[in-house]
Amino acid sequence: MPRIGQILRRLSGMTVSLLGLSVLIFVISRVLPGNPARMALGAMASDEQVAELAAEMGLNKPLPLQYVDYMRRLLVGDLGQSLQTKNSVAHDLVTKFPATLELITLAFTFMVVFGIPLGIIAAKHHGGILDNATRFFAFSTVSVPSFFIGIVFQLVFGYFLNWFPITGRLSSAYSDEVVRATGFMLVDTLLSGSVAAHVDAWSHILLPALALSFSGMGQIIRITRSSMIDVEGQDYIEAMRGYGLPTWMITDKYTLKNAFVPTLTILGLQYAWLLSGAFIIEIVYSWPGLAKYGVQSVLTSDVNAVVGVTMLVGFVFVVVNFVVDLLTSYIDPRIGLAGESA
Amino acid sequence: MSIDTLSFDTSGLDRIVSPARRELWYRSYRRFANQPMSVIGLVIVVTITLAAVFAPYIAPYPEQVGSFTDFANAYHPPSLDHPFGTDSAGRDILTRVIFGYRIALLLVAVVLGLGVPVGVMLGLVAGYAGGWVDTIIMRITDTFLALPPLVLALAIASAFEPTLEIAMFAIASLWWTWYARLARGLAASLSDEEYVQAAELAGASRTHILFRELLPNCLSPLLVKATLDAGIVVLTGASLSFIGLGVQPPRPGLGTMVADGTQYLPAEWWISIFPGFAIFVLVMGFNMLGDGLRDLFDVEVEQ
Amino acid sequence: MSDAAPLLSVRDLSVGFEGFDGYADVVDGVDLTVEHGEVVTIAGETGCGKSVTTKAITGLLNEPPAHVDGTVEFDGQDLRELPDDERRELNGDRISVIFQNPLSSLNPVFTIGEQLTDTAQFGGDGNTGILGYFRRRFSSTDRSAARERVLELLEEVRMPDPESVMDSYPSELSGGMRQRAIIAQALLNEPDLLIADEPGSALDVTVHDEILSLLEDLIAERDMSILMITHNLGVARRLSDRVYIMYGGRIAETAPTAEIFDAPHHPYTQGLIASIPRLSGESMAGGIGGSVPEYTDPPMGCRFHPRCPYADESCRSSEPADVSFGEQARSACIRHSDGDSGPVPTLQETKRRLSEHEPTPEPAEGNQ
Repeated sequence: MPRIGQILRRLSGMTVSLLGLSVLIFVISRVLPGNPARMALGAMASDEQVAELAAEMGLNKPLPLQYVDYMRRLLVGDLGQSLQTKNSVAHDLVTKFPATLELITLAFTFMVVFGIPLGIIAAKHHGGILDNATRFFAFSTVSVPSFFIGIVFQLVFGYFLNWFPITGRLSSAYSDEVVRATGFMLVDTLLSGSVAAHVDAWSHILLPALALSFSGMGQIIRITRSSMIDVEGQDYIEAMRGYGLPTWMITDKYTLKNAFVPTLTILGLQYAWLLSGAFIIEIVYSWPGLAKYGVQSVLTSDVNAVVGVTMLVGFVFVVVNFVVDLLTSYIDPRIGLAGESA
Repeated sequence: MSIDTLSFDTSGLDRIVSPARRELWYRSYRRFANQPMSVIGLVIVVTITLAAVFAPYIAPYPEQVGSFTDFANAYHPPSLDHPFGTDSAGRDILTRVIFGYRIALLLVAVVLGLGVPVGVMLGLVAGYAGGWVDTIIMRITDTFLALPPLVLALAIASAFEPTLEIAMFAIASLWWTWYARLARGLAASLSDEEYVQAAELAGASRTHILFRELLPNCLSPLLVKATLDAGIVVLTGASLSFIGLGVQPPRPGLGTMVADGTQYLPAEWWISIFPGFAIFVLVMGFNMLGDGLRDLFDVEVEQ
Repeated sequence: MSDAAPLLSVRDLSVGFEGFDGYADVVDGVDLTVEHGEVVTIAGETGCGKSVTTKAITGLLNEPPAHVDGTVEFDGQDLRELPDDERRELNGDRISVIFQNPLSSLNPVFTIGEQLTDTAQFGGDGNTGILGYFRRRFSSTDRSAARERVLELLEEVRMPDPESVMDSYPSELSGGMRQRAIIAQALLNEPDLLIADEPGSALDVTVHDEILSLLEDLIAERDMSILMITHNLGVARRLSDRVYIMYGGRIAETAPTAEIFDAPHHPYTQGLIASIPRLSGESMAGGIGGSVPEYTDPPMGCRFHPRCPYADESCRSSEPADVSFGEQARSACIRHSDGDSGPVPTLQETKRRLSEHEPTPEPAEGNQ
């Protein structure tokens, strides 16, 4: 069971990680490209214009001072203005993030709902045909480029079978009916009371979410399978069999909880990794989320937006890692928190 | 199932069984050959590597790789002449896929060729030295690991003109962190081992201990990790190209070709599908091979 | 006690494993019996097959990869013929096991109380269906009765502060406490036969001693038979009525405890006893040279011959038959038939020969 002291120590470790992240992103955004003002204005701008903007952006100051400036604004949530949308980056992130969150959450659900049972089935039929078939499937999902599986789904279920739309979040016919309250389309359509719009939102999200869930699903299957097999070979499971406990109770109570610890770790990491996968899937399906926004900012050298997106993704990663650490040490009392093992 | 995974008391076995080295290799070979998937993986990787190396000699239309156009032959569906069809400029897709493998494998070679030695060195030093050296190196590593490689590579790539070289640099500049972490863990656990302590007592220098005692014992997990990673590097590179931040047309990047083909869906589906499938086959090969090696060396590596 | 049928009777038990290195013959033709109320020890070096023998008896070996042959008769029933579900009914109810490693035999992510209460409530109910399970799982009277029972047993094994131990995870307990918890767990359902695999041997000497005294008391208080496994002859002498000496998957010798320590017959037993200073009066430097045979390539003839100071060509070519020395004692060595008067070989002679003996190097390549 995690103690307060451990949690505090891990929290301070998390803070250090976030600080490191801010330095890393600062270095990428301010040092590497040479002159962000020139980048922002494009090759056509005159030297005076560049100098003016540079002064405005505080680029004449020494780097450490620039960093302090940048941190001060970061802490109050001021990420500057996006050159692309002319909005404040923070505002853009807030509007774009729910779409991405909705997509990765559904993808995550698919990963869990299909991945864990498949892993358990494979472990139960250890060495058999089902095991090998599952293993091959798991291999395929980790090997397939997400844009490729996305395109294949579009071709098969969209173009050929015509079951689902292939791009966007909602058909334009409904866009006036739906009130943007939470930013989560599945929720908003319900709040607007339109069943048809709700169904339409589902039909839009299913393909991208399924495609996105693929890359992590193989990992979940494999880790579940191997930890189930590993736990089933442990002395304490043999002991329970020796004491004649009901067979299925041994599996469902005494094996599953132990086997779930490694799975949980991977699950947490996968949730964060889905964010990375979303960068591709959102492009394929024209999903108006954070990742699409991020890629567009990269392509248009929109420095502030790139910093904002990268910072947010990094933040989610660090927080998810922290939560996973807490959960695993809650389930398995032997595990100290990862921050102290170093 | 091998006998050493059974749950009976094998502590005596280790002591008794000490087969000759030759036999050990033979057994390893048998264990490897017993897994059809690893053998298939090896065949895939070797075949594709050979094809990539000898691309100018084996590709059916090597002159059509780059900025070649033959609009009369554009949009040909797969046929005997063009097994993967032709693209919007009339180029043979099979030819471009073979050359695309060249770029993909070059990326793997550069990223792992730079990332592995740098990461391993830093990791070994951190794990062996401990103390503040360890803390600093590992803090930097943690920071890099707090972001998915694709996103970080995007951020780095955004600072430059998008080219293959920049993508390589971007990916290589992050990849060392994984190896630093792996090597550090191994070095830290190994430096408690008796043979390392014995070497220390015997007055061996630090470099000797690092290179002669620690490094050789890290090799098998590193090889497994590198093989599995080769697949991830290919995927990351292809993803960057797909977004438009990697290989630029008319160079035949596999991801670039898929992105180009999306304009012609669904009618000319082969323009996207074959290059995409080609990526899948190569990555699958690396993964199956890596998994076989992992079983062979019996090592755990995080992915 | 020999009038009634024995509680446990094992005949011609063989266990092998199919592995990458070929077929491993781990147990080869073992006969043993445990009478009602008797404490029997199987003693031998690590790797002699004693643990596998008990796992074959309890049915905890997975077949395949294991191949088991022979009969295991418990209270008149052949366990190997019994359907799986009936056999599971016996485990935990009439047959129970104290597992070897006190840390790894307790599930690290459940409290001691949770595991032991489940054992008390469901132990020996291997066939309870899912509905029956849920009905009883959430019956608070059943649960609290089981909990009471666990607390009683924890008291009986002299667990300090049983109430708080119930809420502890295994990792929070000392090695001795975990061992006590396991002993309590094994006794929860009042087994007729308790199989104890190296009880306490993973603990340090003083705790080990406490555990042994606890076992002595439990043996005195309770009416049960025990089949114990140990590599420690001192433990065998202290606790058991009768001893089996196992070597290379076979029984080398058996006799009542007093007899086997006073007058061992088999050269291997003699070597073991001679290696213990406290038992033999003076120590013999070096013990028995060589090491236990490889499972995959056991020596021909008598399995002990590569290390035996009496070995000659006949030991290599023929397998030794059992020679009886009274009602309960037998030993498998072809030298026994050499002597006209008294047991052959003698402990003194074995000692002398062992101190000069070089074990035969094995012909196989690569052996140390």
